[in-house]
Amino acid sequence: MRAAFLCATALSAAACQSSKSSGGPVLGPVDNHCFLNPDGGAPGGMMAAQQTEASACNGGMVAGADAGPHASTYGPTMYNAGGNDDDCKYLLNWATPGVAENDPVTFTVAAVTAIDGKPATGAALYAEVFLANADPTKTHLSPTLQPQVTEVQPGVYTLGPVLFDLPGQWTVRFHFHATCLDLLPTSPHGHAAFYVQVP
Amino acid sequence: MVTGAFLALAACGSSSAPSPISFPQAPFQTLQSKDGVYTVDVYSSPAQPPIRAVCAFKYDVRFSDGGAPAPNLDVTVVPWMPAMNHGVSIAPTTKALSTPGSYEIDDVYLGMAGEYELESSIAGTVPDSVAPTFSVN
Repeated sequence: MRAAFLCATALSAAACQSSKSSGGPVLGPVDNHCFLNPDGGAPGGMMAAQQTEASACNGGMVAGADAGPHASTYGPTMYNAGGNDDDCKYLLNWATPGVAENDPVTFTVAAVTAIDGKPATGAALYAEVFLANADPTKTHLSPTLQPQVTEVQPGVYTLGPVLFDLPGQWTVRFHFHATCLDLLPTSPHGHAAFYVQVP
Repeated sequence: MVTGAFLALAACGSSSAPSPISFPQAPFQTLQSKDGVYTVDVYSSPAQPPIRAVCAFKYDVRFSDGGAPAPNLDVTVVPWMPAMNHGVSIAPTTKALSTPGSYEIDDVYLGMAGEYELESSIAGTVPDSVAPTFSVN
């Protein structure tokens, strides 16, 4: 239900279709990590949304070098084409015209703030695109490291071209407000990762 | 979780080999390890200081006491962005080079602008750590 909600509210219905190939989102459990009900609840249900403030971009204290070594603070990579970011600041979905090996593709990413549903504007979107491997040192990066990002309407971004140069189950990790410090809970900096199947 | 596993399992040094990667003659940083056991010269490629790209680093590690090269170490590197409270999605690969005390760290994905810290554990007869820090624009 939430997947349909995401498509209907954040992107046009057409954008939730994949027409070029069979590649695209990997279907699986719907993300509900920000919802308070164990089953994720219905749209509009109780949610542990994190408010953000632009002023938090430059706030907080950086831990010293002695604080390490660190492990990742990223949340699990998500299935499907929509969900909340790791810190429940945003609700986003993404779409492509289709995904195929060695066929440059442009992502459309729509995001609203989780706290009030307003378009997440000026989000300085950035993406890491990689093909994971059981051996983490064999992880393969997309050759398109810095795809162009355009905010085509408030809270809606295009990101591309992105080239998937191998078949497999890739991961695309979107970062919002990537240049913003993420030291305070209210920092606008956010990240959300999704699986993308490349046939 | 996938990424967490990547970062937790960052690469260790293995075989010795010459490096096909070209590094500048002079390091961009020289650091004392946390406990002062080692002195580490830090080089980067394809640019020095590092840029937004997939970068490689070379550590020339010597004993602070006497200055002799420190071979046969396992160097484990975790890139970290302290101001972003996260690392990167790719685990670097590390290998010992044929020059004693030289270690190459490759596939260091510096995709995002900001401050980076290479949290580097040095395992050997005397374990220690070092954390080169730098900014990428």
